[in-house]
Order: sequence, then C-alpha cells, then structure tokens
Amino acid sequence: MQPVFIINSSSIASDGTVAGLTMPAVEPDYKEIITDATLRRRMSRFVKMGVACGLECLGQTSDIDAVITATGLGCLSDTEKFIESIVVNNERLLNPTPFIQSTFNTVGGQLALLKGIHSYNVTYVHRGLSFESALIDAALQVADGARNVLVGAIDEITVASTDAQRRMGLLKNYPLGEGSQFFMLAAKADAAPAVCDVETHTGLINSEFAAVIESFVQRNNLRLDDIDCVLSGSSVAEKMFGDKTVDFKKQCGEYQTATAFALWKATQMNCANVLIVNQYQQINQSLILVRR
Amino acid sequence: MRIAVTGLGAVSGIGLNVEENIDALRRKRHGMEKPRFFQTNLDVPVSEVKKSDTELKHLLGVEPDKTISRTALLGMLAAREALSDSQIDAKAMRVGLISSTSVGGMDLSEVFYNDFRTDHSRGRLRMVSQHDCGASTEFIANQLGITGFTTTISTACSSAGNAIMLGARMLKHNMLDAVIVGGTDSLCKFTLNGFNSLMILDKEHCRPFDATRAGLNLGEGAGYIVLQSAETARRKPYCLLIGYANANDAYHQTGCSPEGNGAFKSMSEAIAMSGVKPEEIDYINVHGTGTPNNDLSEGMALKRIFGDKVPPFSSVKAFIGHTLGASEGIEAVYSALSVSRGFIYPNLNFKSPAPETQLVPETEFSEGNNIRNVLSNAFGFGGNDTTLLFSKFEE
Repeated sequence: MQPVFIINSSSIASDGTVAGLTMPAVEPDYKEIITDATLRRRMSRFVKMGVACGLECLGQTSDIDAVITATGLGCLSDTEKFIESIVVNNERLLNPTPFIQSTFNTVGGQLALLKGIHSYNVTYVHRGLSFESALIDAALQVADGARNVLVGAIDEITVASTDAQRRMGLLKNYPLGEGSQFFMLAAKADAAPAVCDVETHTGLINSEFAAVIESFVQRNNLRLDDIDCVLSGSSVAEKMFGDKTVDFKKQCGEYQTATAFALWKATQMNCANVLIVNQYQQINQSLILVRR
Repeated sequence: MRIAVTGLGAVSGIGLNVEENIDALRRKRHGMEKPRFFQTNLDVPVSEVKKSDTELKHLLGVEPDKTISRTALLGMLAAREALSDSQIDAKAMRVGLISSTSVGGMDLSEVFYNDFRTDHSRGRLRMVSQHDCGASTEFIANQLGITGFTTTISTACSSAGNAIMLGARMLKHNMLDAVIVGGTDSLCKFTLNGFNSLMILDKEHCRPFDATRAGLNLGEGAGYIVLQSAETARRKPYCLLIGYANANDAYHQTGCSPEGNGAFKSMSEAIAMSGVKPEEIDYINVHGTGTPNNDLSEGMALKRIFGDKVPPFSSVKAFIGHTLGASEGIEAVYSALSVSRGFIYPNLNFKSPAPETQLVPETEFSEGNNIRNVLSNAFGFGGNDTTLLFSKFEE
C-alpha cells in the first residue's frame, strides 16, 4: 500500500469516564459547528456527532475528492424510534424523519449536502472492520489521484443497544463506547503521520493472529523491535509487545469503529512507528501501521 | 488490466436463479403481488421471492432450525450461483467478497423488538445478533468458504453498484485475484413503512418513465457478479467492466435534483473512464424506480448526455420491484447478459412519455441485438449516484 498522509483530524470521544456499562462521548457545543438550528434539531445524536466531527476535519480544505464513512451499527436511535413507531402506530401515519436519518450513509450524505461536495461518497458497515475498510478505500482513492480524501467513523450508544449487548456478553472486557473521528488524507504532506498499511481478517484464532502480526510488520520492512508503541485492543498484542502496548479501549470503550479512535490517538503521539492491533469480539482482527 | 465478468447469480421475485429471471423477463412475467410470507398491514404490491425461509434453507443445505436472516439466505443463494458459474477455484486464488445491503438482519430484529421493547430482558438474542449489515456478508463468506478480503457497503439504493466498483478497483491494485461483488436485501416492515411514510410507494403496479407514474414498488432479492482479470478467466467472460463512477447529487437527503446533476456526473464520468463514445452505448439499464422525482431527474440527465439520441433504455423495476441494496447487483447481472446475449428488457406498464422529457423506453423483450456497451444506473438516498459501464468481450 502507498502511504497516505493525515493532514488533519478531529475527534469526539469519551474522556475515559465510565458511566455504568458505558463510556459516553463528551460532545461539543453543536451550535458552534452545525449553525442551522432547524437542521440541528432534526438530527439525532449520531448524525450530529458525525456531521460536527466531519465538518471540523473538513475545515477550509477544498478539492475534496472523496467522502468515506464507516459505522458498525449506524443510526441506532433513529432505527429504534422508527421500529417503535411502526409497532405503536400499527404501520399507520408514521413520521418519515427517523427513517430518512436511519440510513447508514446519512452522515456522508449530509456532509456532501452541507459542503456541496459532488465527489465519490461511500459508507462501510462491516462490523469490526468498517473503519479499516474505509481506510483501504481511502488509500486506493489517494493512489488513484484523489487530492483530499475525508474518511471517518461514527457509532453511538443507546440504552437498548447497551442492554442487548450486555445480555449477549459483549461488554465483559470493556464498557460500551461511542464516538466519531475524521481524518483528511492526502498523497503528500510534510511532517504529518502516514497510514502505511492496513490489513483485515475474520475468525482468526490467537496463534494465527500472532503470525499475521509478525508477517505484517515484516512486510513493511520492520522488525518487531522497531515498533515504538502498540495501541492494542487485543490480548495477542499485549503478549507480543509487553510494555509497549497501550490498551486504547480503556479510553474509548468497545465498539465496532473503536480503531478510528486509536488512529486519532496515533496522530497525537510523537512516535516513529505506531501499530494499531485490534480484535473485535473474537470476530474480526485488524492491523493499521502509522509512521512518522 | 481488463476487468472481466465471469460469473453471474441472481434471485428475485421473478426467479431463483439467472435463467429463471431471464425466462420471466422474456415472457413479461412480473413478480408483483400481495406478500405471501412477509407480514404487513400495508396494502401494497411487492415483488417477494416466492420461497419461505425454510424452503430457502433447504435449497442451501442449511439446517431448518438455524437462525439466519432472510437477507443472508437470499445472498447465499445468489452468491453461490455466481461463484460456481465463474469456475474459479476459491482455494487457489485470493478471492474477496464485497457485499451490500440496506437492511441487514432487520427482518429478525423486528421479531426481537416485539418482545424486547417493553422489557429489555426479553427477546431471543439470536434474533438480534444479526442486526448489523456485516452479519449477512459473513454468512455468505462462510457458506462459500471465502477467507480473503471481505467487507460490506451500505449507501441505500446504490449500494451494490459501489460494491462492484470497489471490487474492480481492488483488482486493479492487485489486492485480489477475483472478487464476488453485489448485494442482498429482504423485505421488512422497516423499509416498506419507511417508503410508505415518504409517500413514494405506488399502491398500484409501478409505471417507470410513464407520465402517470406515482411511485415505486419494493422488492427483495440478491444479485452478485464475479470479477477477475480477463487473463485469469477459466471460462469465456460475459463482458468487461470498463467504466464506473460514483458521484453525489448534494441536493437533498432523499430527493434528486430536478436537472439530474448527480446522475449526469456519474454517467458522464463512467463514460469518460471507459473511453467509448456516447453513440457506442447501445442499451441503458436505467434506475427508473417509478417515482415522479427519480424518473424525471434521471431522464433529464439522459437528455443532457445523449441529446435527442438517447439509446434504447428500460427499467426492470416493474418486474422485480426496487430491491434497494440488491438492486444494482441483480441489474448488473441483467446488464452483463444484455452485452453477452444481446438482450433488451421490456419496461412494463409504459403508455405515454413524461411531458418534460418525452423519453420512450423499450417495451418489448428482444435478443440477438448487437450490444457493444451497456450503461447501468443506481441512485440512492444521501444523493448517491453510481453508474457502471459493461462492454463486449473480444478475445
């Protein structure tokens, strides 16, 4: 993979505070960012988080050739609201707004609409690999000549989702997290961190994942010792890298697009080689290499 | 690299495989009727796949009491047909799966929610564990033994077009040797009521591009194609994928601009990429949902590109309904066959052209036409517009 440089980034995330079984994001004052009051009122928390974070990252950058978003579960609160209205109103006289906003690509569509961006626009929804898929697409866009590519992720906590995930046993290791991060990627930038490689897997057992991590590092002409910091959401990485690992999910909680938070953390660090190693619920495994 | 289409698989309200679909199109036999399996109080026609979940599981060799969403079942059926048709050896190559869906496991989530809504300790968890879109894709990958790159795209009604595009781009970058691309969606209360609340469902059989068109009919199904480099094909390719583009209308969250800006951009860019001249396009599979807004916007875009020489075109939505995340998967299958076997499909229920565009679609099935290039459109919520361009394969 050709390296892509992160020329700007933004984040709405937890400050590490645990509230019961969740780690809610600390949200900004949306009035300052989404100035249209009518539009803002119509938006769910999910859409506000994503749109605000996307707008922050876009800033004054022009020549946006792609908008690529990722989400594990999409606009859950609107989805729940619309299902509830179907049941309560017995399929009659329903308000379409939650349906419209429940679409997985709502944030990407809204960003295009608000900024008049007519270029490539797509949304990835593949469990614990949603954000990684978006990054891979973004890197291909840059390799194919795209000037500036906006890529980001959004997921939200709801009461229903917390209760269902607790019952499924998905919140044993970490509280449920949420948040949004966006990144502006470009082919060249001075002194900016670069995403140098991304790899995704499904259903690996720990020994297989360990072997995959080794060959991933080697493929990038590095030795395991060359990795300065490992942002880890996987016990496999802790065994391999020991003290160099930081468990990023202790800061953001567990959710499908938590690696977007990890990538944002990586941009804030002054390390030559950062490896993000993640495992989503023993289902998906992913690796992201960030270099400076 | 020449991207070849080497495998096709389709399931819809008019057939459980590609040949059944073509046979119904040839006989003008549409799939629209009152739902048999899907429960709703709404009195609207839908194009439902004419098999129960249990029957689909039987066809797939899946145990009848295993909980699998209908979206996954339909996808498994169509993707299996496409893979087997391509004759590729999934063990010997880097084979990926890029699937799309707009509802994922919503059919099961709705059942779960009935028990869960008043008491969060109730509801069977296995009914909601497939709620996310990726679950259906992982079922398909497991069924086919695909261990390579796997992902899921959801951009509403243009989803499968974007899955096909990503597949082609990954092949060009040598990240995969072959890829199964397309989409799947089942009917559910969520989308039927959603489109009903937007007042864009026609209570009658839909009439794409007709002056009296009044909305769309929903459908369900799945469609996948296999893409690989023409050099590695083990069978004669159906056609080549030589152009694709994704553009955003940036006009409205659910509506299209009256002058069809996004559609104009996606079609123009796909044509420009392919290098063919507009007059070398011999058939267009339009998105043509039958809503006043879509067909006007798409029609205006067609006029802007082709002037008064708009090539033969038709919408198949009156046959199979709007299958949302699956639509461009199924329609890519039809488009590939249009190139390889010279098919032009009938646009049902057309009587008189829209006054604004005066465009007249094809209304009869014909075959053996010399079709050099086919343009295929898919547009969706969020302003998403995707166009694919399929071209004749020459040795």
